[in-house]
Amino acid sequence: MSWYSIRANAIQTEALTKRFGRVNALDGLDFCVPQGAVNALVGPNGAGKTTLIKILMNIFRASSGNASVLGVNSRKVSGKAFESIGYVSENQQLPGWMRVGSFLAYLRPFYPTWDNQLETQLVQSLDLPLDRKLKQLSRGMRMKAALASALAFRPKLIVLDEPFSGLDPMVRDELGKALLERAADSTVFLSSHDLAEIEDFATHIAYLDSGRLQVSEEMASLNARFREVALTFDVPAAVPPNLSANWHQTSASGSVVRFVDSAFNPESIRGEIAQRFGPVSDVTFSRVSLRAIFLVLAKGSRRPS
Amino acid sequence: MNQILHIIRKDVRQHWPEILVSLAVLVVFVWYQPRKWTGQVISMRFVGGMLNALPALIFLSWAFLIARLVQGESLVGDRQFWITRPYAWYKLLAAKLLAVLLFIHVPLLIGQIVLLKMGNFPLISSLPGLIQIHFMFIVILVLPSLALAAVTSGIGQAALALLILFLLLLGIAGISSLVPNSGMSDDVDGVQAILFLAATVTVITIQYVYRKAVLARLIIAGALIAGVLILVLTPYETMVRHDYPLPTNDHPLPAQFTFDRTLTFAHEGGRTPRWFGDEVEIEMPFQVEGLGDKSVVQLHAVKLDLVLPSGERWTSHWHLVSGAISYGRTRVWPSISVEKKFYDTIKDTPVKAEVSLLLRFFQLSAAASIKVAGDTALLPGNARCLNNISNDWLHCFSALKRPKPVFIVAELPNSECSVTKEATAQESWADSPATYWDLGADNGAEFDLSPIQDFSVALSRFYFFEDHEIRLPVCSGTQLLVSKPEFQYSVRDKISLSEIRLANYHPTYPRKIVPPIQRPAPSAPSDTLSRNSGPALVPSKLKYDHN
Repeated sequence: MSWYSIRANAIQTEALTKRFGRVNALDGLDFCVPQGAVNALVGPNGAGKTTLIKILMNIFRASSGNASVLGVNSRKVSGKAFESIGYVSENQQLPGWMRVGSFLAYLRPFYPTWDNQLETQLVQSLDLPLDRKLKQLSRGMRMKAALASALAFRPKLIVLDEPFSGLDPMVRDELGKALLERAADSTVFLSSHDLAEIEDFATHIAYLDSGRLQVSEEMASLNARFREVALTFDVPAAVPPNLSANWHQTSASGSVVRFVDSAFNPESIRGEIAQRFGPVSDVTFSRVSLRAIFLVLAKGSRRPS
Repeated sequence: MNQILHIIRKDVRQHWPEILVSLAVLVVFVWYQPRKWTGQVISMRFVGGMLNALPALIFLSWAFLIARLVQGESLVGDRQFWITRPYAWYKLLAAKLLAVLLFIHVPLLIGQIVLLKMGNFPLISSLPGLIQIHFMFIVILVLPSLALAAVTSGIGQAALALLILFLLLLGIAGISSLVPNSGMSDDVDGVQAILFLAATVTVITIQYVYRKAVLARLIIAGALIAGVLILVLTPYETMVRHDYPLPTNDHPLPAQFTFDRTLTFAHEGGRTPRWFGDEVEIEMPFQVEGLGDKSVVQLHAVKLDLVLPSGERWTSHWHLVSGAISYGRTRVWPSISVEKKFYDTIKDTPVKAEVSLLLRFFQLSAAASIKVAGDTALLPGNARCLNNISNDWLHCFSALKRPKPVFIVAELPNSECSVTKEATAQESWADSPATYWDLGADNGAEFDLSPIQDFSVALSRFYFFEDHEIRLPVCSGTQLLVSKPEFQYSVRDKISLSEIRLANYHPTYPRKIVPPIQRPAPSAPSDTLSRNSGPALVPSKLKYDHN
């Protein structure tokens, strides 16, 4: 059990549902983000990630269910509550007529905890041109300016909606670094549809698909329970029927059978393999990338019941 | 307060061009007003047109500025950066209202003070009136502009919404013209005004507190629909009967009106019947008797009921008329318009008719005698007038409001004030003197950008049959008797005309009334003025303060 798991949750939802007409964008979501975590919300486009974030930020109203952010009902998240929440979204409209410097200066008095030193540090590390108007900046630069304005007041919770979407790798790295530096004393909740972006620094991960939460767990536990298993036989092998439900993407090629185990237990796996396949000349277990894990999950969730 | 000022400082940095434009237009307006008072208008067509359009430009620039201020932190949409920042809604709203106060009301107030100073009108006593004008600006301009800006995300959308709203209001005006008697009740206008005011305040509140644009737009639509329903469903006839009851012992008819069968309009000899579009105007003569010498009766509206030979009944709606009947008048010609198609079918057929009149009875206070001195005259309410002889009127100026209700009589024409030959050649004068009246209620300051009311006082006198009148000039030395009419009560009169032929009461051009009555030769000024200025009306101490 990690240190953050014993603290209160920064975000919590209960049976959260959002309907747009007949479409269920979110469908009875029970979910939490522990304080201190860097929680990545992943899922394909249209999974409901932005809807969830907008409900948490009180931009949308949930059709039913509850959500709380830093202990405040999300329906009451407004005004003063945002003194502790830094929110950045890929499609947020910034005041384009303002220069970067005056934008930061304008926001400064709104936050009692605004840290001028941190602001300077962020401006330098993100290489922000203070004298340029926001509307003249590239998309990446605008995201950096928005991030600087959302980090400089040391928020307790940083919420980022697709912060890396469409950015070049260098800007992504800079943003990621800035986030990691702040992660020590904040909870970070970010959404992404690109797993590679968040793999390096997320401590928790949640997978949302068609408005339903498929997985929500610590990254370490997720990594630990997924393994790619390769079985080598002396003769050409076939995949037997009635394999474990936790074994996914089973395939046979010559004398090698491969599958992904989603409930990997080093103590029992060899026995289970022997029981299903009989004698095996060689067994190898290798780590699975996050991308592969979610492919497994995605296919699993779309399998007809 | 810090956050409010901080937002205003940002608004100034963002919207300084709009602020500057609205201030510039206001400065030009203030500069141009005194030139208009003295007739120094700019004759260049384009510039003159622009200068005349200044009030509209000022309104537009203010509406635009309000929209830009509100939409600086747009309340529509879910992508604005400010909605996830620690803005307190009430501080944001307060910042916008304070900006409106600073950049619209304060400059306007300064401009108004400058104009009052230039017009030599007192400042301190004008302050309540100025506050009333600013309150009216808030209700009529600021709140609707705020509401419209609050439910739209940009200027283009706001302009489109304004256009749609304008077309809808035109539609409502069209509906109003189709609803019989809809012009008869000020109460309905008041209820509609309160409804729209409540709707704008609700919309602004909802948008700032909850940002529910769809709900706010529905409220606007609902208010418009409710306004139309009120317009259509109001029982105007019942209200008229309530507001104008039949005479009682306590509230008798202030004068007796009897149909004058001796007069009709001549239609022979190349005289052209007059009609307007699809309607024909009917004017019927009534003799007036028994009106007290300190009384004025306002003829407010008239209605005609007919029983056709077939037994079918036809009733017109109430027609607003403009007439004040004072001592000395012997006849009135209330007019009513009838659909031409209907008129053509019955014009020569004898029909039983009944006319209803709505009357408002006023008593005149003691009159103040005012002499036109040189080219100037000072009317009650500190209204200063210059004699514009070429236009036959007094060109008057007063602070914030025109003097009303007011009733002025003068013995015109007189030996000092001659009139044109054309004017005297028509007919001899009626006995009643020349009059000017405004029987509107004193509701305080007028809704206007300028605190100086610029208006004309034209005295008119009726010709012999009292069916039409003409404006007459006043001259130095002309004596004006100015009284304040005090409203007493309203009453409805029903007069049976027995059988008439409508064609007899359809005026022709040029007008000719038959049968010709022996007219008296033009004489010296009648004694009507002395009757009007008799001891009952002119006290030793004048009621009005001439200073």
